[in-house]
Amino acid sequence: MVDTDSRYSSPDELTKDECKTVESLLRRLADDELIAGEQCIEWAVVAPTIESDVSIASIAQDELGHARVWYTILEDFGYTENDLIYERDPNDFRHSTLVELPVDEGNWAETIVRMYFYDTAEQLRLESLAGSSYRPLGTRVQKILDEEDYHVEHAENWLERLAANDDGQTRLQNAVDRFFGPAQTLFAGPDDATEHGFRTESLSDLRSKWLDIVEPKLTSLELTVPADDMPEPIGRDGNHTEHWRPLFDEIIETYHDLDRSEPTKIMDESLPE
Amino acid sequence: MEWEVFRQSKPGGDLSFCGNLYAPDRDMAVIYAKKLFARREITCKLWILPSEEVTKVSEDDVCFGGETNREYRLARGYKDISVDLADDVEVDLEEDTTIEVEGDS
Repeated sequence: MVDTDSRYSSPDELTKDECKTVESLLRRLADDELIAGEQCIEWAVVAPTIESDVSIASIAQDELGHARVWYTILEDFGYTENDLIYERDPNDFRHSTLVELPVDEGNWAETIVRMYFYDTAEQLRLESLAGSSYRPLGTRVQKILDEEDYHVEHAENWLERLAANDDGQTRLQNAVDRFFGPAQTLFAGPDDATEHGFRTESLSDLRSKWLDIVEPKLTSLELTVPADDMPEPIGRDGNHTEHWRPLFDEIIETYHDLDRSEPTKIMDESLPE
Repeated sequence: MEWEVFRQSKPGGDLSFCGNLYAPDRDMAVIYAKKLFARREITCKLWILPSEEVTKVSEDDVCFGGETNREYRLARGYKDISVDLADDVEVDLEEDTTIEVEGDS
């Protein structure tokens, strides 16, 4: 029986196996947010209107901020930001393949559908971390959830808007067909975090909750829901699509161009007790 | 469609105009306004209204007040008094300063 009241506040209080579990959970969270944020940045300056531009750029900033939160907690396990991002082996990244796929240039519907799939899953995942037995995880969840709520509100509103005419409907359906499978990989990977109380719900529970939200939403917009088979690769085990490597090179390009040996930190992200 | 946005930064404070935005409808105007005008500073209220609903009156169209000299109504003459002046009007607090008003009878 899991004692969910027990609170671990640092890696020193965990066994070696537990450390591995928390680390793996944190890497999935952090890598997802980093790459999801990176994808939104693509739209800065070229989004459909100046208002949507500011909104998506700000969403990108939110996601990168969340990644920073999770990477900072990972540093307690003896890593530096360099180890975790800029000088990391690309095969070591644990994000879902959903976030690494490129959208066709200028395809706003694809961006919105992906955001809707991703942020809805993110909301569920964060809620299942609020009562985590690893305290640094639980304490940061609420603020992040507030921002994720906005992301979902934004994505849902755009979904409805795009679904309002035939052209938008076709674009949405194509995007759904393309991303629904990869979205399943958000729930792939080792599922041992629940038995230690690090997460209060299993990945398979989160996945069925996600399906219960997403499927009716798509149906209500008269979109066809594709089969929810788990595709290959899943990303969570380090196996990625062919799109990951070029994207990773793009992410670290400036770091290498400027001949950095450590990342620039503008703000000190201190964790509340 | 254009929307005007007003923001309140503390409870009970004034709503100040912070700018306008384009959004096709009210829902989207709210979504945009949150990011455009309230993502950085602490905000406790936003008022978002369609520009066409705002009645605008400008000085080109009407004659507002404040043109004639009515400075005599303002007590600003008492604002910049030198501290030295305090010595001249020093009051002995011990002294009974009560003013007795005598009746007519």
